[in-house]
Amino acid sequence: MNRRLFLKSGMAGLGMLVLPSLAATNSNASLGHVVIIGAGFGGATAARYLRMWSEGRIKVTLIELRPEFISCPVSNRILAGAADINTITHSYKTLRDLYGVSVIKGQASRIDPERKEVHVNEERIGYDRLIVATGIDFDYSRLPMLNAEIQATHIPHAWKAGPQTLLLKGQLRTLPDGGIVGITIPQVPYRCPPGPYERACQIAFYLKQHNPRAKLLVFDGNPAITSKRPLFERAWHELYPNIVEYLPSSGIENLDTTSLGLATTFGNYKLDVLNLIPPQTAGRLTLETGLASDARPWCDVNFLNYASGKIPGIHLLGDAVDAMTPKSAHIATSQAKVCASAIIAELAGEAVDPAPVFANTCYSFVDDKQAVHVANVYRYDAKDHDMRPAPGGGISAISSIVEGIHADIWAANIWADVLG
Amino acid sequence: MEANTHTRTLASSCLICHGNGTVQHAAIPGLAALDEAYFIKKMQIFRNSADEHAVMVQHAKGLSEEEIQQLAKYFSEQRRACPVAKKKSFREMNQAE
Ligand code: HEC
Repeated sequence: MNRRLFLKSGMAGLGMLVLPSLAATNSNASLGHVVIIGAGFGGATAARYLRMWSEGRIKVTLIELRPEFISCPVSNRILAGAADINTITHSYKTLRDLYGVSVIKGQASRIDPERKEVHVNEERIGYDRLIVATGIDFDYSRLPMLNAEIQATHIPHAWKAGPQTLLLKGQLRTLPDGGIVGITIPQVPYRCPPGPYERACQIAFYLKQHNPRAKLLVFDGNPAITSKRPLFERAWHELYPNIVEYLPSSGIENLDTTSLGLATTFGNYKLDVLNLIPPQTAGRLTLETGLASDARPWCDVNFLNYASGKIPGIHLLGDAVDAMTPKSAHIATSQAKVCASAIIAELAGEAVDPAPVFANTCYSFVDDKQAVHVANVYRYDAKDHDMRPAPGGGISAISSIVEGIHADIWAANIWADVLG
Repeated sequence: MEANTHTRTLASSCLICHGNGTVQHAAIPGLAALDEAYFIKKMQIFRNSADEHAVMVQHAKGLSEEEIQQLAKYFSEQRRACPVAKKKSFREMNQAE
């Protein structure tokens, strides 16, 4: 193995191809052991960058229940038939084999912050630092008629890509001629602000080709479209005028889960397919461990290193973080890089960047080829101790095929950046 | 270890669109090994552009002059990866050396 070559490329490289000497932990200069729960965009990025930027001096254990990575970005396109499940499914093999991350398949059941241990598969794993990147869970407290089982079989949220994405796709394919589809959107904050509106476009695109007399009712718990508003309004108006009906400020009052009779703030509807996206919280394990903010089901952190505001030795990443930034995949990866950099510096006794800055972009497809974006640089604000949008950010002027091409490149590159 | 972690983190957030240089997409060119002066010039053009809806204009306007200079230096010092080698064969090349 050629250490010199690795050093040269590893030092210069952000996303180097191959770091052979990372495959084995370099134990003579070990800085410590970081355990990461959750291998989504935040957790997997943290694993890869901890190994890469510490040049193998940090041992990384990554705990994940799913055997493979399934991307929420691009998953809406499966509904239109423009992508399939293989497109968004990716292996952890490179992280394991080339980056020397120890990947454990299992569900972390408990965190013991006193002993600095995680319980998984009847085992206890000790850590120097713990990163919790377990994403979101669903809050059924105000939807007592609903539960995870009904969502998995009958009324999908499809808000974690995978089997429910395919369930919803199948339901659309067997929709009666001229049938009615409903999407319900929870109040902010929720994962992926533009996601529900992109989904409306993808479902409408499918209906327009295959069931043009069908209707799509978008019941939004918010008073208006929460992201890229003029672009989605225009897409619905120009591309799907007889299909999409947008109903703002529509809270769910009641739901018959058998007949799909839905009562909202404004009326009663009988649906043939219902995609119900429930209100969300930080993952259950974070709540059970006591990592949530005092009055909110999201976790407050120090934005310089993503350390929990509640329990020392634990860091949080991704959608669970209580932040001004949107709950996007790109943000989760950037948080992971700030966190990885800070953990390495802290364990090595070096200075942590006092004012991190990163770029964020999110693309949405309005049909099978055209996309739109929202982009912003986010900058640490030392006064508010938060990440704030820098001037200059914004959205596309119009949807375009060029941005559809950019969106495809974005997807390929973010998957490669996260998983190596 | 990398001296300037600020620039390193910021630069890595650009890779989500620009990629790490292993695959080149003409529509969003790779940044590794880009000439420093050219990089700065392009960023100035983006910053001064009136096309406020263009994605790169939006990013460039959010950065400071100093960050642009540091990014230019940082990317110019990177090696551009071998575009044809697949992961596995590149690894074998490394080990064979
Ligand atoms: C949302 C995707 C996206 C992100 C994020 C992004 N860029 Fe770009 N970048 C583009 C696109 C698209 C172009 C081509 C634009 C054009 O030519 O008008 C481009 C072009 C460039 C160019 C000109 C390259 C050349 O060869 O002429 C530079 C330099 C650049 N970007 C730097 C950056 C830096 C630095 C960052 C991070 C702060 C960044 N970009 C983040 C999409 C992105």
